[in-house]
Amino acid sequence: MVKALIVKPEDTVAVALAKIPAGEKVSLVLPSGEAIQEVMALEEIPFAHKIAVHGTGRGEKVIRYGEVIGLAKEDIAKGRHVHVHNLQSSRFA
Amino acid sequence: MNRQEGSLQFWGYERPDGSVGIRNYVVVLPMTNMESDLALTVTREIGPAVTPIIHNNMRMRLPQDDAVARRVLIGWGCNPNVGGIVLLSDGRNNVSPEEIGDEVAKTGKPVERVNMMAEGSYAKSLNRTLHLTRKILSKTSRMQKALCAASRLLLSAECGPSISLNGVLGNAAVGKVFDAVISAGGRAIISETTEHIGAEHIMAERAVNEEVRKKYLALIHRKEEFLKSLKVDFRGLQPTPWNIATGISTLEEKSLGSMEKGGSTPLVGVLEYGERPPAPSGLYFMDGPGMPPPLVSGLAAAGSQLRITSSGGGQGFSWRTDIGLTGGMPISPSVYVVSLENENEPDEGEYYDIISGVLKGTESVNQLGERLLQEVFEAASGKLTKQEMHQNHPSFQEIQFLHPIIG
Repeated sequence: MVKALIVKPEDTVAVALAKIPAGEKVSLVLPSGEAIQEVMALEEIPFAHKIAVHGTGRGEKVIRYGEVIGLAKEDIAKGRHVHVHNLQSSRFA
Repeated sequence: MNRQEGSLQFWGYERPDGSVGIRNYVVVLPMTNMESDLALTVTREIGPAVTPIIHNNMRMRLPQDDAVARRVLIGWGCNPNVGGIVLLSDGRNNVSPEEIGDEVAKTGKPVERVNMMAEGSYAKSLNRTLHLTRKILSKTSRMQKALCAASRLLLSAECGPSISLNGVLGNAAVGKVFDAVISAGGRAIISETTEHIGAEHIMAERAVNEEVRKKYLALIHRKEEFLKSLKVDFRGLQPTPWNIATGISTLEEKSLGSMEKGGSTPLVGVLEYGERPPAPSGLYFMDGPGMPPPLVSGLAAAGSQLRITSSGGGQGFSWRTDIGLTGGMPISPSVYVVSLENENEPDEGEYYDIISGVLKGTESVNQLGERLLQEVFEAASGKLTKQEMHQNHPSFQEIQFLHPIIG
């Protein structure tokens, strides 16, 4: 199964360790290598890009490294590709 | 790596001031660009036992930049990897070999000076420099290594070309090495001030006290105001189109990936460019550029014995240009870790010390960090890094000055 790296368990996004085709199941692994969860990709996730590991409402915080990396510009469903089209900086929006 | 009673140790050269070198260089250091030819001629004459540091200090700088030059040249001389030093002056420099030499001599290392004007001719200067350099070599070459605790290490980190995965792979591994060395009583330095602009609130939270927090934020603010004075809004430039193409979405995300190199321990101090940190163990932040050549000049001046370079990788073909890009500072060797393997470059192992196996599925991020830690301690004990084995030309060191030459 394709893997995505999730840095902290509380992160709302994980990073694809290979290109993930739409409809594929993804295994979420921690830095220790432990797999903690599976998510189905709703769309293609390019290599090294982010996948939502649970739903985030419009205006809510997107978390990576256990820190806020920005706010959702729209509702982001679990399994969606998270990037500049639906995520913006929380500091300079 | 030696693990004795759970502690990390390495073989190094104990200096009279209590610092420990992981190399034992005899450096010929010109005060400015004017003595470069003499330094290189001495090196050609004596051979690889001598290391010249050729750099961009010159006369007619503003007083605040003379202060930068003074700090950096003293810092290079005091770097524990330097066993002895010969300072070259034309007699008309913006920094005097007396003030540099007096500070370096406080470490107890052998220091010699050659003043070309006082010698009266180039030939006399050359003979005198050769004589003094050989005199120091016969002292330093007798020195023996001793087993030293990890607490004597001052590590530093820099980024090569970045991609979205650096933060979670190579940089995360560097962070784990920093955490291990700091928990053993050692010190580590991160820098790259512009990488912190826009996400300074995150590192500020890690400050050990209010004083460090204020100093850190003031330093970031100062850099931003400097950029504004040049009509540059740095916050609008990041992340770059290249960063976005590789999957980085926001400024905070890019900065967090860079800050991963700092591991998870509190920020205990803030340093000016090239400033040597005080003795207490912990993570320090030094003002410095993201571009490696001037950054590594500053890190070596701060006294770092070993640098870890973390890069996206997959660029083995550009190794020779990478030396220029990541800085070939001769007195501070670099262990190079790359996050990506490049299928088109089967000989990458010739260039990089550690290639991540996380994408191939052969190891976890934590295991990558453990492997990097072992490599760092082997390099500290004398194992040549790939950079040291490939760098067969004297590099040119860029010191980060604030202003152009005015006179």
